[in-house]
Amino acid sequence: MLYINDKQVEIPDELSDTPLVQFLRDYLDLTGTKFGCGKGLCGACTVHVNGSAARSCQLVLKDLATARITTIEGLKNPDRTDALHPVQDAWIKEAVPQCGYCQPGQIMSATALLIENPQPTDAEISEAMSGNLCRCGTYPRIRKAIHTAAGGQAHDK
Amino acid sequence: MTNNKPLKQVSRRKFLVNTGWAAAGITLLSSCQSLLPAFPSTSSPELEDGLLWIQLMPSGEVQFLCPRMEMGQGAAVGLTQIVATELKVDQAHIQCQTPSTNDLPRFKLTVGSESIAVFHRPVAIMAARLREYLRREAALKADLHPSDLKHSNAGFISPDGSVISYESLVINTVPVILGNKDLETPAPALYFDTPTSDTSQIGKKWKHPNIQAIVTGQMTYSRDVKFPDMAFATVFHPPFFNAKLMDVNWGGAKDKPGIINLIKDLENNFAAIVADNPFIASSLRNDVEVLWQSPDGIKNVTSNFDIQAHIETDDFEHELISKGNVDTPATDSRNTIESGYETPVYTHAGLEPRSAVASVSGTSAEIWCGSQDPFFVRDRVARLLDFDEDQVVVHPQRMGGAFGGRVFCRAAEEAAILSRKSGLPVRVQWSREDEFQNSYFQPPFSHHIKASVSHDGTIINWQHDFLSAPIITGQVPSNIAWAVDMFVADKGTSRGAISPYNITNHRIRYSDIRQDIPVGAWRGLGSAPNNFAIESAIDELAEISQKDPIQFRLQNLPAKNARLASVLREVSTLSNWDSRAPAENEGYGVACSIYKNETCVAIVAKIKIDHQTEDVTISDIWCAQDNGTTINPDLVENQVVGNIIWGCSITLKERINFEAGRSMQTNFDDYEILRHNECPNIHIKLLATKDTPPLPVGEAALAPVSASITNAVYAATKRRIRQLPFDYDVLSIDT
Repeated sequence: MLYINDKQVEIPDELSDTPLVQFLRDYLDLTGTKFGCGKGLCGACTVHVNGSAARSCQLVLKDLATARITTIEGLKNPDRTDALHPVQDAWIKEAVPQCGYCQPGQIMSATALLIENPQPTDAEISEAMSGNLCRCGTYPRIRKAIHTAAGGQAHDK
Repeated sequence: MTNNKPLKQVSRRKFLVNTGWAAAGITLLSSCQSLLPAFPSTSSPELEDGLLWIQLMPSGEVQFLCPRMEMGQGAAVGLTQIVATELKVDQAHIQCQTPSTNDLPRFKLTVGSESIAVFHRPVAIMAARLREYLRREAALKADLHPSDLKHSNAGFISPDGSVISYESLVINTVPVILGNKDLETPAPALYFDTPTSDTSQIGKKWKHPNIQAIVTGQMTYSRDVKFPDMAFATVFHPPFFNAKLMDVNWGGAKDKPGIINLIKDLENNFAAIVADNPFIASSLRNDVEVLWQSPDGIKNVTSNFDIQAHIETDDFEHELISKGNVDTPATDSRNTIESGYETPVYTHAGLEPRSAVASVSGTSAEIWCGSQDPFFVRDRVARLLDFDEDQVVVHPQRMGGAFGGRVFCRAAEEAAILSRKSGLPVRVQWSREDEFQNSYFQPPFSHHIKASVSHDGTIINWQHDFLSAPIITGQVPSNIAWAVDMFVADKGTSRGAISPYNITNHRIRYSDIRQDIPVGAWRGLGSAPNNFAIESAIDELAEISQKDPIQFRLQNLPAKNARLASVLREVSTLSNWDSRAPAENEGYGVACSIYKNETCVAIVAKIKIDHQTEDVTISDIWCAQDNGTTINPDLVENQVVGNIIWGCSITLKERINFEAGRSMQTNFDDYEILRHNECPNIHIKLLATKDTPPLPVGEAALAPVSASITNAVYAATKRRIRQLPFDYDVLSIDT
């Protein structure tokens, strides 16, 4: 059984070949996950599958079996229910977004990175975030916000 | 602020002439009005246009219906700060709303980095007029003279100390707006012109009011618009330029449950599946066979221009400058350069593929989509449906990037046609592949520059010829394009083509040759391709003069361009230019530009070449920019960084090639844009020039990025990059 944002979700048989991004957006109305390229090239549709970042346009529902999916809407502050996730807070503090379209995907990649590596270096951030395209050019502030969320000082590469 | 120039009062006709938008075509066709196509909204704001922009709500809060579209540039935030300044309200008490086309009179399309530069003053004046109207109302209420009242936070204070709040001036919960008679008084003084008060919001770092919605996934873009009774379309677009829809074999799609309509629209040249759910609509895409043909053949589709033939025949349509004697021979041929530079076709590649929802009834239509010109969308849809313009309402959505690529919205036009045929609201979402093949492009440029310097490093002559396609008029309908091309030299194509240097013998010529590829606005129009050629050639002249590249530029700048000289000196300091010590395989380069004769930018790039990994890396970019008064430094910095990253991207990576009338690039695997790990360290200095009004920002810093990088490559390798994009392979070819 598939879990999406901690809720059990039943998948209608006829949708078993549907890409996860379309299911999230058009069946569950979770439109925070964005469609960008449909080929896993841009990262706009990034979600967590069992805690790791994955491109939801490349996942078909029938292959997800018992996966636990988290979308931008399900991102939670681990300590408090009335507060944003620290990465979202850092994104606001550093005023990262421009058009904002790629940012949910960026944030999902960043949170997955920080689960694995709570104090990433610039090089580690670059590696983890390079699957997420931003056309407006927010990469420097993304880097800064990840350091802010990690509780460390932002520093140059 | 010392700039007190009044609101621009440019007549519509004059403005059309000024912008090159088809004035000739309009004259020729004035006797057959009904044939006139819809035109973009090109008129600058007139006084009465702003009456509804700013409203005092019954709650006492201010509502600002912003006449600019948001695509991430943050202009609406800056303009809101200006309204808040004139009305003395804080960010919590002002709401900026995106107006629908029936909320406001037509306003100018959001292009050309004009939102702050052109609109800050009209917006400030309307806010100040509302303030003075409220002061008069407060005086009436308190039986005082308006001048007795002191303006305070969201209200006025009378001499006895009592407060008259804005809220108390709202009668019967009707929002307070200005009327035509309020425009009869002279414009009041603006706080904007004396931004010393502690309530001024100019220069403050307001965050976007929707930033929390963006980072939590709650922000709505056109792709997210949904209605309960909506139908969903999958649209089949022409797979190559000039393709005409001939026939459709619907195959298995014919009898599937959930299908509402199978549309073969020969007139509008598309086919579509309309279904009652999005899953059916998209899953049947591969079951359908669509037959396209090119009855007229495919011609004039070029991935690049070759200027050489035009040089040989001396054949150029337009002359931008001709002074002195360009044939003045250099005293020494060693002091002459003759060079060619080329840039390819680019696409916008915003992260959101376009999308729209349309709901059409027998008498009206509503459209939800992102566009830089919602009134143009409205007028185009009205013509398609044979409606009057006021029968169509467009509700503009925040755009996931636009960059010039969303002046109109074909997804909205398709949705409108399909909604009429289906009797339901219809959603149309383009795929990434649709974006690549069916949007308009930045045209290729080809340059030839011949120039020489004297022994002391003074530029003696400069002949610059170039070829490209018309950009601003790139999208005029084909039935009037011939007239436009006969009379209009496209100013988008030539943007930034006049170098800022003092040149005695000077000639610039160009031809804008219309192609069968769709061409239109792209970030900065011609400014980046033109600057790449100019600033590369300037670097060559500095080299043969044996001068430091920054000193050479300073030496050749006229006094009138002192602000450009200032940013050059500033970027020199910022990058420690004079004490730079590149290691082997490292280099520093510089380039500069004046965007739209206003915003001055200088950039230094540092590059590294790694022969083991065969990589060229841009390690650092330093940028000094003078954009006059900065309303919001945080958002301006975002725009500068965005331009720099865009510039790195086109220098190293981006290129569209056409074959058999189609774009060979269809997604981000074959049209790569700069990724996080390729992003340089960026260091920015904005010059504080408070006596200058706000100048264009959104495209300004892009122009000099490419030449700064390729000039750095020259410094490291003595190899001159003449074509963009370039990579390590170009450097490794023996010459």
